Amino acid sequence: MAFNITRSRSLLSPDRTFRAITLMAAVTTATILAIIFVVLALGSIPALTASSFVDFIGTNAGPIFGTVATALIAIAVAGPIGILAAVYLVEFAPKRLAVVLTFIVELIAAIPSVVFGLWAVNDLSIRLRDSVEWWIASTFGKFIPFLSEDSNNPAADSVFRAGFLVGIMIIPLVVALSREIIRAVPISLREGYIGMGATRWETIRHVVLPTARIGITGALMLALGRALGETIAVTMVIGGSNDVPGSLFQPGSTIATRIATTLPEANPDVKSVLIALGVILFFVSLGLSLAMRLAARQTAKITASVK
Amino acid sequence: MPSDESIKTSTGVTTSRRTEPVSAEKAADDAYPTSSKYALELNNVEAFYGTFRAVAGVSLKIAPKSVTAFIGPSGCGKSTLLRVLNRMHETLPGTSVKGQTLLDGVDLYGPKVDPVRARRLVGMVFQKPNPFPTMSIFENVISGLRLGGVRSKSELESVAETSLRKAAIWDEVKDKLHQPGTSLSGGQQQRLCIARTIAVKPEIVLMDEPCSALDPLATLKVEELVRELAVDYTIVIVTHNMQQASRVSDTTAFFSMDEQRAGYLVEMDATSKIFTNPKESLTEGYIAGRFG
Ligand SMILES: Nc1ncnc2c1ncn2[C@@H]1O[C@H](COP(=O)(O)OP(=O)(O)OP(=O)(O)O)[C@@H](O)[C@H]1O
Ligand SMILES: [Mg+2]
Repeated sequence: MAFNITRSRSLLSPDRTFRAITLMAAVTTATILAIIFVVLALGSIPALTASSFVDFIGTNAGPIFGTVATALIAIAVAGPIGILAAVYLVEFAPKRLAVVLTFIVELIAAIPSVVFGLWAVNDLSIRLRDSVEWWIASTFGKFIPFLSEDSNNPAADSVFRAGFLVGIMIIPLVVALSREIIRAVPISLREGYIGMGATRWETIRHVVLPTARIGITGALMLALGRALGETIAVTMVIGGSNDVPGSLFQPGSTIATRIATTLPEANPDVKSVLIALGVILFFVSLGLSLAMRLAARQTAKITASVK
Repeated sequence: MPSDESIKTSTGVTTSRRTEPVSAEKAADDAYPTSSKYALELNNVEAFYGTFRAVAGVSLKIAPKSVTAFIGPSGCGKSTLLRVLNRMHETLPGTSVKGQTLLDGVDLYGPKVDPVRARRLVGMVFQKPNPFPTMSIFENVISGLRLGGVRSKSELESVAETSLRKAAIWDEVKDKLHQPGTSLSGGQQQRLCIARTIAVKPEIVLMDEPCSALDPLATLKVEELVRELAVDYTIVIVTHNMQQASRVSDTTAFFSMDEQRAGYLVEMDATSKIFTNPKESLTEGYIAGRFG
């Protein structure tokens, strides 16, 4: 016989070996998630059994409030800017400009968190205090709770400034995700509407954005998850007060900043409380990430339904 | 003396179903200098993608309420020319158009023409059915009217019904008008897109291979529809299917490409003439090959 094509009996055929190695890598990754979950769950049991869940939330209302508030402010800042920037990149920007702008957005994403914090402490915080915060407080502060002016002596740090900073930090993520989703809206839909006698703007408003809506919502969920967990930069500008602040323009804390700042000198009881807070953050982020996945699948379904 | 006979126009283009005598037409022309006896008149039209000339020097005339088929080998600029006719070509970056395109005697590319409004007069049906996925069947049909500012619910409803009836799809969708347009079959989606296009009462309906994504039965339905629509509309249809061209069109324009890959008009004549006794041997060869 001139050639041999019988199957190798060796257990160490190259394919099998490689398969085994890659399988191990995959299992390791999955195991990490399981380990994190088990360790945190066990660590949180003392705190969660020491009192009722409602009491637990009550005693930690400050960081929980701060987490929700900063994340929502962040989305309010990053959502509109990020989505509109993505619309510009996909629908209007000449090719070369789009490349340059995309590169700049990626650069922003590459800035380390602590550097953002430094900038905020030295510049952004002060600007916000004297402009946006002052305007909101003096316009709405009298009748909307949490928006009142921060006494006569404005604090150096505030929940609002932390949220705003996180918003700026997640803009690149919102731009990148929304851009992909908007780009996935079939050209044939845009042309169909333009062919009906629509302007570009009408096409974006009535066809492109509605078609991309679910996907963009998913993108915002993912960005929200990122905002919830941001630690260093927030620690630098939020002020570190553990109580629920009387106003967004006063110092506060978030789950992430509380864990980072209190853990070093925590006794076992406090440690368990911190771990329990971490578990909550973990589940919320996981949930948001799942929501993003569902949304992506829905969007794919919508765009695929255009035969 | 109105007649149903075909009339040979001065350019040799045969148009059928014209019921007005020539003299009356002449009079109308004098009274309304902008109104032409042609729905479309192209003089030396060229279309470019950047510096590439995809369409070269096309001159032709299209009679109102007729069906004109554009045929020719792939890449000879049929779609490009069609997109010149409703100013869609210019929506792609780097494109340009030269020459004169008269829509009912009015320069489509004149300085005062708003391309967005022009597209309401020249509707387009695309190769792939493209109902808007976030709109219901009803909303799809009235999308053009809404763009035009029509708000009256009763008017929207009545136009929706008329258009869906004209597009021969009313019976299939009348009980599910508020379901998504994408829930329909491909053939139904295409008829929905036709309904959507005629709902704004355009002068001209352009169709770019409207049946190429459809099965034979759905194709037959759309072809019948094209014949019926020609009573009210001027239709230009691009097709690779020679039988289809011979079945639906009154006039056929055959395009080819020169050495620089620029598309040009080889000849345009009554469909029966093109398919039985064309003037150019190029046409004859193409059609013979296509009928195999
Ligand atoms: N967006 C574009 N950018 C650059 N060149 C293009 C573009 N679209 C089409 N062309 C070129 O223009 C020429 C004409 O294309 P067009 O699509 O009009 O041909 P067609 O006759 O419709 O072909 P088919 O029968 O395959 O649909 C081709 O050479 C094509 O490569
Ligand atoms: Mg084509």
